[in-house]
Amino acid sequence: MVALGVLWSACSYQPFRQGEILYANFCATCHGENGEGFRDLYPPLANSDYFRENQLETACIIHYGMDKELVVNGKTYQQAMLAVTQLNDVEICNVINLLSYSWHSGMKTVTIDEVRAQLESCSDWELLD
Amino acid sequence: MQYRLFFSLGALALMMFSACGDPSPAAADQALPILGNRDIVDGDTVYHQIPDFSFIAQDSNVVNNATFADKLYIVDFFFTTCPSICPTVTKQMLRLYERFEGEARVKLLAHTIDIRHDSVPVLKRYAEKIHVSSDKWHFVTGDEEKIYDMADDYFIAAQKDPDAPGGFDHSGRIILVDQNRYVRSFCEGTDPDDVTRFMDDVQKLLDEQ
Repeated sequence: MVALGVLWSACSYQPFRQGEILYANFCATCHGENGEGFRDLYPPLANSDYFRENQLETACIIHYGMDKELVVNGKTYQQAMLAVTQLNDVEICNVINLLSYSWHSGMKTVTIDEVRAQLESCSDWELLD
Repeated sequence: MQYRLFFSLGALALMMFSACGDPSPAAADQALPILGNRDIVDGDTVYHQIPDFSFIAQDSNVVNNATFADKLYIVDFFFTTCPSICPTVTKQMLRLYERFEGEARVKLLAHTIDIRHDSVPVLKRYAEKIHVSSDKWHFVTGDEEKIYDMADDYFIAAQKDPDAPGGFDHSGRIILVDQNRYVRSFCEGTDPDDVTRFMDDVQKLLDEQ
């Protein structure tokens, strides 16, 4: 019984608890509880080729928002996303790692230093809020 | 005596339960009420009625009261970049759209409260991206003050608020208006169960026609 319990918690263990909570609060209403997206309006964040190829740039999108066209898994998305100004760099890092860990198998996680350097590199982005 | 007391307590509890559990004032077998303040004028009851309006929808077409003549219509207020409740409410409006897609007597009317960003092309793209027909579901913009006035008439709170996510504060309420411009039912668009109950109200009003 105990062994089963341990086994169960091992399977459902998710190391990015803060990312999970932040995702539910700031991302899920548009992008879906399971990252599935919504029609052609909000792109998916699960099994997304765009995320896989632009993992760190996602930090800039969260921090500044985005209103340019975006192709995800072959579909074009144009809906503007406002900056999620409530999240700091550590929190953004945790959200990216949640997305990487939960919905993009085999992806490595990112470090806070990488996220900070990335945010520095896009400091000329226009803030959309 | 004990039995009767027990019975009336039970009935009271049931009434209280149904009062809390069902936000619609109508019981299942009653006609939907006309909602809002009413006046007595020369001995006649005058109900709250939706006033004249005229807005521009996603195909650059005019949408006004005549668009909804002989129709029931379902109303909400939103804006396309809303990061908080709108996506949830739009998903529920979509449920209503799909449920009544084949019913020509039902239309949907969504007003943007952010006329600065939500131009006609932006609204058109939004409608296209969720794959809905512009004949059935009108996304409108227009005079800002008139839009906010209409929100009052539909009993929906909407105002600018720099501190709110996206810059606007508004409720996610969805309203049902009949062919006589009376408000007949409403629900909270953030609550799927409430929307299900509202769907039944729409059907009930259709059945009355």
